[in-house]
Amino acid sequence: MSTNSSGVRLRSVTKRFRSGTIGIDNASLTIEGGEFVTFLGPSGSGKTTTLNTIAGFVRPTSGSIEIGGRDVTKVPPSKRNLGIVFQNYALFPHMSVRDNVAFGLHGRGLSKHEVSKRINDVLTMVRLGGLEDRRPKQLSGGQQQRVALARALVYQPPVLLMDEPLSALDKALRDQMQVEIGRIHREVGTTFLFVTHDQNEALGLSDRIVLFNEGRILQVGTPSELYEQPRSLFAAQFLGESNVFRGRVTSAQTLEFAGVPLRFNGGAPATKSAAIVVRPENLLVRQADEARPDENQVSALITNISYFGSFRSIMVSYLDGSSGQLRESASSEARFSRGDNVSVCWDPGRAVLVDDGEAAA
Amino acid sequence: MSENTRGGWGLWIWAALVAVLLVAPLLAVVPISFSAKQSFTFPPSSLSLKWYENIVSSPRWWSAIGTSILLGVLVMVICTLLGTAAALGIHRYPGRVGAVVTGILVAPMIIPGIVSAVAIYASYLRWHLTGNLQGFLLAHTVLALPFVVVTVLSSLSSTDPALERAAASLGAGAWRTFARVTLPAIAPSVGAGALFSFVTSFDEVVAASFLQSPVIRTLPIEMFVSVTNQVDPTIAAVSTVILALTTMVVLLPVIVRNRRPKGASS
Repeated sequence: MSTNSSGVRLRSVTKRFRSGTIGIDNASLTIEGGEFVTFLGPSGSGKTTTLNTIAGFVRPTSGSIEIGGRDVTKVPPSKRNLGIVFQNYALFPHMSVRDNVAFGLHGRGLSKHEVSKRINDVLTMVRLGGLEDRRPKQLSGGQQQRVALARALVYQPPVLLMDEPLSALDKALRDQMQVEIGRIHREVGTTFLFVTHDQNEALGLSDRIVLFNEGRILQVGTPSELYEQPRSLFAAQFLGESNVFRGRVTSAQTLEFAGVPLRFNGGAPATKSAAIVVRPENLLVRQADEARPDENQVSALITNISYFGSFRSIMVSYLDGSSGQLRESASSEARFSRGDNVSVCWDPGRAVLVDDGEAAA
Repeated sequence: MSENTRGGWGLWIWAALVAVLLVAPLLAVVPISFSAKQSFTFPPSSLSLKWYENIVSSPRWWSAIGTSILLGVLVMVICTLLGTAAALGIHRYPGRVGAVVTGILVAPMIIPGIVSAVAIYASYLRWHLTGNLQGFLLAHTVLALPFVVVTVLSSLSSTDPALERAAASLGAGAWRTFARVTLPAIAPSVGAGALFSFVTSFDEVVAASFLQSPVIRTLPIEMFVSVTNQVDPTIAAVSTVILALTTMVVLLPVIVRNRRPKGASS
């Protein structure tokens, strides 16, 4: 299929619902043509509302939306020429697979020959050849998902929107479709906008992730940027596991956590109260007397150890009562057991300082 | 079938009793219509078709049957169009506007028939709508409309709203979305609503008895007049004909649906 992709641009988009609640709070965002961008966030965070404003189903209260450089803020959904995959697929139940896929080709001035060629091509791409005459009800969830993709891609839209497309599938199928969606994105080269609340889908699929919370865009970046350099406590906790050491910033380089000074790299935050965030794989467990001067160390109590084959997951409880976890390669010998008092240590360069709590946004 | 899905003898007897109570009067009417004597004796002592001959040869009955069918069909067409359109509108504005409009349209279903009929008669007298087809048409449309609105509305609310969005995203305008997506989804309910509205009109007695004149009478009114004027089994013959017709109307869709191959029935 030919490459056809457009960028999408949101300028200060705000949506205030009639009830007064704010769906989107002043969101600005630029998506390049051909990118795979994920809108990630908990339910009610504004990610689906934002997708719906791009689709045209929700009219923003203020702000503007451009697709391929054209202002579409007031253009109805039927004239935006987008491909959309709905959460429960929304396949037309009374039509065959072929008629579902053909629906979007109507009125595009294509010859009969061209229409059937496009349908065949797209069904081959989503690996559904031979099922043209089935009704949606006669297909499995994964197959329905593929029909929905085929229907949204057959007219080669410059942008494809997907609203939690994998949430209705079971785990194994979800993993498989995730790989498929990645492949299809590479094949068609269209801009993909993918809404999900599943961090693994976001990390695994995206060129960039847009993290939403409470109607706002909190952070935009590549999966590794979001994982390694979260800019807020929310980002750190929503993506991946993290150990959070909340405390007061006492100098440009140190934060006091439960009476223990911890060093951090980078400048001091604007607020006095902040938190150091460390990922489980960057923490080490040592015996209490084993600490090294170049590391931060915090004493902890081991509350549980789980074996996962290639690694052990160690759950700990810190001085302030918060809990955390770290990982230890299972190739080394197990030196600790539940109930041990240990030191949890890390290299200050492998941790991030973020503003504390709700002020983070 | 397992033992407990069948139910015991008690349940069977109860079900049979209810069935007999419901059907018995009908089953008495049919034999009486074939009686050779001018009486309602049951069972009839001798058989004939003369009461049927009576219907066929009487312009009175023909005219009443014609009026009722014409009226029923017109009411059905108008109610189906208006009722479906109203349901679509109400569905689109689910707030206070929708609730108020629903309330007004459905009111004839709740207001006692005699109250509606008196109100209709009082106003139609002033509007010169008594004793003519337009009056019947208007009255029956008002009375039958709720059945279409309610059935179509319930079907709309159980239809996935994403279907219309999907059609829009695929470039379909309002008309194409309605014709290719919404209408096929609600078609069975539109059909049921149409049937209900026909039957409502065909069966309506109270308003019709106010609006009738010797010139225009619907079938139920003609039957009523006939019973009060003379006692003869013609009325039983008419009842039997109506019974046969309505049974056919109700059974036809069921038979057609069962004939269709399984895969296509969804």
